[in-house]
Amino acid sequence: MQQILHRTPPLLASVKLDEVIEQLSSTKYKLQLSLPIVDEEGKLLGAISRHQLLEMLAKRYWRELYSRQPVTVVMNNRPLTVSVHDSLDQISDYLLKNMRLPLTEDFMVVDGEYYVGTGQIMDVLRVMQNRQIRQNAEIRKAYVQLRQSQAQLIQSEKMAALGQLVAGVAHEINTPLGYIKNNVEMSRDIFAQIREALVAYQALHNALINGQTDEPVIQTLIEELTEFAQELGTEELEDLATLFDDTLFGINQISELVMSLKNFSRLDRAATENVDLHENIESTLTIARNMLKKGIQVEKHYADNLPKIRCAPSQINQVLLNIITNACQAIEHDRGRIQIKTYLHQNDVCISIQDNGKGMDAATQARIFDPFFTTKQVGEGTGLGLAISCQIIKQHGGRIRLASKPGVGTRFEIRLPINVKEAATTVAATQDRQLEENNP
Amino acid sequence: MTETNKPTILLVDDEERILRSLKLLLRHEYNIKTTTDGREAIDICSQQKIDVVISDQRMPIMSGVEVLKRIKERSPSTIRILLTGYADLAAAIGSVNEGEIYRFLQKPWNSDEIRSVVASAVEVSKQMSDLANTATPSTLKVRDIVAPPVNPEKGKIQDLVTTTSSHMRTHSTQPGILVLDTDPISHNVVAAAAPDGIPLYSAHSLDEAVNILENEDIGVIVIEVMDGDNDYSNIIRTLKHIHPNLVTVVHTSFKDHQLLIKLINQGQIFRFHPKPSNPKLLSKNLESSLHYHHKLKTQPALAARHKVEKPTNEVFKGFSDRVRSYLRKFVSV
Repeated sequence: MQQILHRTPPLLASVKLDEVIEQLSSTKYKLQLSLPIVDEEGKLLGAISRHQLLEMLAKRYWRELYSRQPVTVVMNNRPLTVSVHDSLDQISDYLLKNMRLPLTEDFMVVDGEYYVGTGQIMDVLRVMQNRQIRQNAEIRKAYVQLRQSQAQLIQSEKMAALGQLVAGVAHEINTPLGYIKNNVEMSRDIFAQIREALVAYQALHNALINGQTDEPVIQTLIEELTEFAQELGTEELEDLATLFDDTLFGINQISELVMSLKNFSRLDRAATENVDLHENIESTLTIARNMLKKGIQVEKHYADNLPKIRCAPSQINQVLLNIITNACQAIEHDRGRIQIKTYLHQNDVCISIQDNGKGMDAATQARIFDPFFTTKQVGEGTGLGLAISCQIIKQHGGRIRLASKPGVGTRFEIRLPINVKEAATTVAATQDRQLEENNP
Repeated sequence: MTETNKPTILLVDDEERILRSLKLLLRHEYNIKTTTDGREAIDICSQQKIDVVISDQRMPIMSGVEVLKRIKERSPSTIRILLTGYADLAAAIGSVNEGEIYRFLQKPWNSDEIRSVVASAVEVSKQMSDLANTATPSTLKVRDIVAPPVNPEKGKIQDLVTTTSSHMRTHSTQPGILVLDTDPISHNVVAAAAPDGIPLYSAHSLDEAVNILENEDIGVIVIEVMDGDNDYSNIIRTLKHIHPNLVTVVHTSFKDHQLLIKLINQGQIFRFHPKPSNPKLLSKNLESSLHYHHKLKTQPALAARHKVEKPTNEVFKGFSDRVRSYLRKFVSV
């Protein structure tokens, strides 16, 4: 208010029009469009504008007739008036509603009935405009921050999922690693024994070839060798064969896991490509193996000749892992079963994932795709997994639906159009851009 | 040594290659039985004398903790070891609280470590079954010994910080519970959960705790391991070494899988109780801890089960000079 208020000295009601004309041309009121008129007590009575006076002066004989009259005769009794207590918003609202164009007057500022000062409409508009600019900047800043924190959330959800995945795979590797290490250590011991036996055999061989060695020496060498042979035994050597078989089996298992990790992340592939969804499902299942380990049967019904589709495979894997993880976590009994079906429906490729877990009620189903909605314990889920999954599928031009019944299970269905336009490409590009923006 | 004289080890894992590998590692010294099925493992332990059982944690049908818990009920002298490749805190807590396991081992294992752990487990099992045979000629089992009678007077927290211990010495015949925690709330929580008539002592630092342990009859220590400056598994081990009958309950807001494993393997803790406490469970844990202390006191051979390795010089880090000189009496440096 203070920035637009001018403490313009008011004119008294008794002032003659002659003097008003004189005053208006003085430097004191040079910038004023109108002058306030008050009574003896300082109460605002009205105002007279420069414009109004000029119009009247232009009339013939007006000056002769009126110049000796008090200003109250011609003044505007109801000038634009605002209270000193009004907010800028209220003032600008009032002015916009009541001002007349072209702008020919100033507005009056009162405290109750008492005159306080005058103000110029242009000043108010300027202040309001500045404020608008400032607010826009703030909104823009808030928007940028929001975008950043959204990207951060997506990132932390990704990290949480990744952490879970890595821990799962690491543990999955620990089992074969456990026996491989032990087997190699034991093989090394047996090998050391074999080497000793070979050395003894060599010694005996040399002694016999040489032909000059004494009988007792040969006797000792034979006894030594017999001892080794007893120690080693055929059983030990058979065990060694088993140890090698098991070890190779374990190494194959680890290679398989590492391979599926690589397939899962698709680090070595293009962001979008023609993808056989069955491959995605398979590598996701391998990654999820440690969760399935609590005795969950996976039944697969894959459609023949399912067309390849253009999509971002690592994102589709993220969605699949999310749904399969949820399915595993929903199963709290030991008859767990997850059915995975693929089929064609009109122009869509569909994946259905159905579990026989605890299911969810209608209220939970309604909110299941909401960001931050989670049924898990604090720290176990960010509540973003399905929200992001939903977004990914939508960005691919597809959709994701679910059906669930408490105590029976839950079924998720993902539909992806066979002819994904450039949706997937845009997805990848958008995410890259967001990352760039956040890591300047 | 004939086959029948060898101690018997039962291996339980759903991966047959693990069973084969372990069997080959141990079969020279022991009779080895293996199974991939937890239920079968329980049956085997009920039907014949098994000295030591080594079980995996994650198996279809039944978890390792569940298997070990049931084996404990049916055959208390079978020493239980968990061998797992998963960092699963809930499983680790269950293994100590429910399975009362002897050691928590991780995959991939170290073969020398497994050999030595199994050897000491076999030794403990032998002592436990000897104990069961001599102490109870009838059918009474080790775990059936009745709880000590409790004093009707409600236990109170006695702050020994400012007074000399001899002045405050209680005349109760009951061994007390010592709470070592910097958080005052925990002292109240334990006081509320402690059985009636059991003297309670509060310590806010290691020095205070050692002072009380020196002067009072303490059966159970309830200890927080959150204080990052001290390696509590060493401290717990040291206290346990000096007071073999002391039963340790870790009461903590610090839930770390590796720390817990260290506490089990090196500190021989009896219960792990995560904060915030479930009062009922804490009450139950305190009762069974006191009960166990009574058993340790009346059957000294039982203490072998919880024997800790001799602490090293390292442990003195957490203690003041005064306490250090006290500890030196017990720990050769």
